[in-house]
Amino acid sequence: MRRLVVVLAIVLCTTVGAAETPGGKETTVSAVAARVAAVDLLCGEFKQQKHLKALARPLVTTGKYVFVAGQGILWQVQSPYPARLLVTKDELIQWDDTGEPLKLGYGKTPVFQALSNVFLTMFKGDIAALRNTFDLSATMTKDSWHLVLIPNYDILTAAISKLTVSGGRHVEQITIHEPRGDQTLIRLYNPRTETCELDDVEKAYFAR
Amino acid sequence: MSKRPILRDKAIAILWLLFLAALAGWLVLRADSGPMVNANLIDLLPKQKLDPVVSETIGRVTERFERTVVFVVESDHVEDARSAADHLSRRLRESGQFRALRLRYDHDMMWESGAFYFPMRFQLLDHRSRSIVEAGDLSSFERTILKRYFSPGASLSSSVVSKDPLLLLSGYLEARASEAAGRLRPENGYLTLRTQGKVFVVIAAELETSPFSYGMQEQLVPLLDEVRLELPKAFNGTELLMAGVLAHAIAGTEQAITEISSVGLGSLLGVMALLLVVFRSWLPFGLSTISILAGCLGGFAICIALFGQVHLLTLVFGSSLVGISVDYSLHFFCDRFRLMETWTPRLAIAHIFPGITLGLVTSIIGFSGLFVTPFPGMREMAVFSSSGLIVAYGCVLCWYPVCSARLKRPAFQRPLGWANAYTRLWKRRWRWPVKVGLALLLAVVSTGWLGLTAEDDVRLLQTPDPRVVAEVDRTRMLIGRNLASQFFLVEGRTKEAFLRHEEQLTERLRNLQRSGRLEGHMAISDFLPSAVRQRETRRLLAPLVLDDQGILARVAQRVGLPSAVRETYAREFVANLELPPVDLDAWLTHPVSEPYRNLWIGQTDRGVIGVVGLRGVFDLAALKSAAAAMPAVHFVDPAGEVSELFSNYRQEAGWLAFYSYLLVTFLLVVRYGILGGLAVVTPPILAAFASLGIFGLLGQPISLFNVMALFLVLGIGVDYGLFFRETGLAHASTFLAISMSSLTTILAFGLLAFSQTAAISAFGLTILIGICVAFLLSPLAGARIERDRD
Repeated sequence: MRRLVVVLAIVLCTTVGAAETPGGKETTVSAVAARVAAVDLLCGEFKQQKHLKALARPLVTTGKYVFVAGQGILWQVQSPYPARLLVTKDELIQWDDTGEPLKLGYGKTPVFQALSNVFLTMFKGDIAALRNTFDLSATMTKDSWHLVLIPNYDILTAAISKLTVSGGRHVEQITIHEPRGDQTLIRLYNPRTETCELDDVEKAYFAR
Repeated sequence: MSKRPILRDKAIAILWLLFLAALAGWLVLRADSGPMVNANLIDLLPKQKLDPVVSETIGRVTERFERTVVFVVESDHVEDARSAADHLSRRLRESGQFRALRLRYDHDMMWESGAFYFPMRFQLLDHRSRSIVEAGDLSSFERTILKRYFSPGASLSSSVVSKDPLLLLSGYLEARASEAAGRLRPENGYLTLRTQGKVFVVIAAELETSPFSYGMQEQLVPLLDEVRLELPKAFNGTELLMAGVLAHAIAGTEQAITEISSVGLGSLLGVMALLLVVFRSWLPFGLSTISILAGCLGGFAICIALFGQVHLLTLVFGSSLVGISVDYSLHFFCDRFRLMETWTPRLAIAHIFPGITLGLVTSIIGFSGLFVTPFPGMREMAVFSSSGLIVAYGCVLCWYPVCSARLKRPAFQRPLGWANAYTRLWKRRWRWPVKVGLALLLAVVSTGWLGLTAEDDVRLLQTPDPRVVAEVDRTRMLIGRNLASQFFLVEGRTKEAFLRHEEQLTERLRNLQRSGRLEGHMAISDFLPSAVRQRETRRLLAPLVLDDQGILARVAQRVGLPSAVRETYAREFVANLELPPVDLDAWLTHPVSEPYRNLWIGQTDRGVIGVVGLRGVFDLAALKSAAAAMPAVHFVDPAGEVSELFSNYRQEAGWLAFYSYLLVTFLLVVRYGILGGLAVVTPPILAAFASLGIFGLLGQPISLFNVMALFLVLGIGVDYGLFFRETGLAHASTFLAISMSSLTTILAFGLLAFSQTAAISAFGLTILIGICVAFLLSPLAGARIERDRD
């Protein structure tokens, strides 16, 4: 799910970044980008299903997330085992229920590193940089859109064969397809942009 | 005067000239065969008497540490940062000053560590899991594994799950990665960090020679200065940051050179101005300059001959030699005030000869106190000063009679009048100003001594430039490496024994980490457990994997792992039990060990040795005691050892000073009788007490360096008394000579008091105060003679 989180971060920022990019060619992709609301703050709940071919049934986790523009995303897994993951520009920190932080340096996984690279360039609203990393294609209906991102260089293709993202005003579903057939599906529910005040715990996490 | 003695004088003068020319010539020839000036402060300190294996290893570790330089280019854009790093790397490589220079990191560490550790997956267990399993808390262990399955940070895939269903390897690697988490990552092979909206690219380098080598600095500093100008221009405002001992060494050298030139030049100019004002003639000025320069030449040459090189601080110290070596000249020229028409240079030499000879001897006794200290730096200074003084003394005796036959009696008599007035205070019965002054001095000194404290911190030797500290700290913060200066050395008769000892040590270190007394550590055994531990892990895991109701069975059920996969894993596990554990050589030769290979030192006379690095040390005593019970483990605290040295030698030097004073008193009593001898030695003794007393009064702690200065206060202070004793109070010219010589000494050492380096400044200030007091009290020695004559 680590890479999933980054993908999600990219997508969230992509939409935000794209929405802020004025004018440009009216491709479907940028139309999608324009459709998705730019947010400074977004929170909601998620349900993740990880389908591993080696396992008879998916691994399911649920919880909530908070996105703060310029700071990062905090994932709080509530079930089955509480844990938190903070994704910021510079690092990735995980806490389990013992409260001891486990720093997962970006330097350790090339996929993650490549993805966070994109994440950083996208953060500046540089959509061209995303095209350097992924081949993008999009379809749109009246209320929804569907985006397919196919990585176009070796480190990424070794780990991810395809990303699909879909939604309406906000991102609603993300699927990561891995080359060996494993799949991870994340659904996002109840997105809120106004009512999600950060509680003290969440503020403390971002302050780290 | 007959002609023959003058001829003889000329012959002596020419011989002396030839001798000095030979010294200078030898120095010029010597200059080609290697650096003569060293700037490493640590070389000033005595070598610790340690076990040879340990001290040799410490030498290698500190050498490697010292020679490491980290360059960081900082830019707004990654392309600029990379091309700037390429450019910098090329420039540095071309300089030829670096043994190794690393810009590109092309292989994939993640892949490498997977490849190395995957076959070991049946015998690796992270420390937390190990302690849970050892404690028999199997349900906790099961929960730990399940948490890994459902963790938001885990990279799970079908292949991982089927080859390592307990996720033991992921747990192990994640714990390692977390402990070693640096903030740098290779991007297109460039070690990169992105933060604060900037891109940083890192170049790690190792110097060919010591960072303190003056010759290397001479080459590298202009290059670095150039690059610092080039980068922003050529690569859109890209900046260069640097960390490592080199940065401090360069700043230290710059500071020392500034100080040598300002102290040396300042005292030279002061002395010259004084000579011109008092004598109103160019002759004393010219001759004194020549003998001062000859003295410096002599000191430098003898030091090179004895030690092979001269420390930069010796030169700083030696530059104040100017102030003492001019004394002999001063006595000669002040003698001109004594007689009107009948004065000849030979008479002057005859008159001052006993005084300056005794003066030279006592100065050398004072310096020899420094020579017997075990401090190489102090010995150099003692040799430099003694030989410099001998040469200056030689110049007065050999050259002055020939060169100053036509010296006129100065027309400007006022200084003589001042000198007369002051000595009159001391004649026969002491006048009230003397009594009041002495009483005041005693009061001040005794209250000061009550408040005297000591400080022996290593920072006495180094007062780092705040600009450099800021840059180095910023760089260290960026690269996220906060290594403590302390470390452990671990030995073993074999590599396996080494790993076992390390595991015992790290067990204790982890306890300290849990209680917050240590932030972290880096040890080879954390990356490659000993064979014993690998077998132990297999033994611990066997029932968990193989039992029908074992952890594997329960986890498999919870996550839906098919029984076929489970059985395959169990079969592989059993097969692996027969294989030999992976040994240290395999790790050391595999690319996976590359970032940590500097922890390995290698073969010694009695086995092998390696380093355990530390981060964030909060409790030194606890670390020391962690090593105490283990003979194969040595705790090394370089800074602490220097402080301890300072403290020990401060006390030893204190006693040595005491004995020197005693010896000098004894010699003087032998020559002048009890009262006469005491009268000569009292001024410097009071001066010594006074200078330390004033430090106490100011609340300034004293250190070894104050004590060292007392040797000089003795050497110089006794001189003043001796001149009075030898010539009496009758001749104001004596006091004039003494006033001028103390003025010049004060000029020289007073300037040292302004040094940025705490040690030098303490040294200078102690001498400054001591000389002032010794000077003011010096007529005491002559007063005795007057009474003896009555």
